[in-house]
Amino acid sequence: MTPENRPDRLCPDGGTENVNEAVAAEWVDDTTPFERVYEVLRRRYDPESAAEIAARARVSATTARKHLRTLVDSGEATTAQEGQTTLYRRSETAIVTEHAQALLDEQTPEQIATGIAEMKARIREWRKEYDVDSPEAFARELAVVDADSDHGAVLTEWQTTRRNLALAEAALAIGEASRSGHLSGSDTDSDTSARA
Amino acid sequence: MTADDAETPREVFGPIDASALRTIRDLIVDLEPLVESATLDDPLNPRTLSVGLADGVGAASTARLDVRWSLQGNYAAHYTDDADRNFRFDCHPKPEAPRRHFHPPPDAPSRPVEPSCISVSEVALVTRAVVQQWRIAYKRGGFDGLNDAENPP
Repeated sequence: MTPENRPDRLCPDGGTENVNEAVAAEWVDDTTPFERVYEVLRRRYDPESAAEIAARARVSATTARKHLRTLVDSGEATTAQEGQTTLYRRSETAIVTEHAQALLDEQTPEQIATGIAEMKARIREWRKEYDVDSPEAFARELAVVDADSDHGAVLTEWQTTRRNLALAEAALAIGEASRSGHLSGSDTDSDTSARA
Repeated sequence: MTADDAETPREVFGPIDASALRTIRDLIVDLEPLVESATLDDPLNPRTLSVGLADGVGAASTARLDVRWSLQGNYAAHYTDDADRNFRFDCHPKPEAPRRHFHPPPDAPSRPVEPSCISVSEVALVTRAVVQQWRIAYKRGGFDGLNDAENPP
């Protein structure tokens, strides 16, 4: 029923085009199988089988398995075993590395440190205002069920800030370790003299 | 499953996925020629990607698309323009509503909502679908059929 993956999908019979089918065909046209498997893996925080990832990425299970093995070898993916089935998700290291790179490209260490202090202050304010320790306790106590409500928005913001705080702290540590030169063995004079 | 379980979903929307917002930003800039700006609200603690458009649907002369995406794959894509019209393609648990739902124009009220025409799940696909639906409304100069999956080619 779906026409071939041509960039100009014409419907000479005057039929209609389904948006969900059209965007899937476009994605397949615009990307390689590896790119799609990698993109799907990058959003997997809960482990999934190669077959599930293959269906999402519009590739065969064999292709998905091959690319997932490459991603495990490069540290992007991590695996868990469920009976006979291998489950894949994005590794924490990859999550932290990507976020740190994005932050360190745009922000100075001082700006990151200031941002960390602000996020900590935000979290302290929520704890005080609602008299609970965590966003989970907040959701329970206030029976938050609708993301479209005001309390739903606070819940999302609190959970988001907590995660971004952890990522910013990791980014700052990576930035400091990189600048020291110890990681690559290119230790600078200024560093040794600072220690002396 | 008990009534208690039904009333306390594991997650409501979930924490915003900063990496997903950056991916969506880069993709929308590639896909949509009318994009004037595409920025995260806070580089260290991003919650929303805001995409400024150089034109709006019909009478509107500018518009903005605000996008949120969570670790659980929940999302909200909110169109608003300078003629004060709004609509939203959402996907998140919502009491007495389908997970994938549409807040219709002109006001995009919290309730009632309609089932969304967007049934795909991946970032690359949802982003393309939202851009495509906006494009259809933009070309037609109105919001009729905005939430229809089937469109004349």
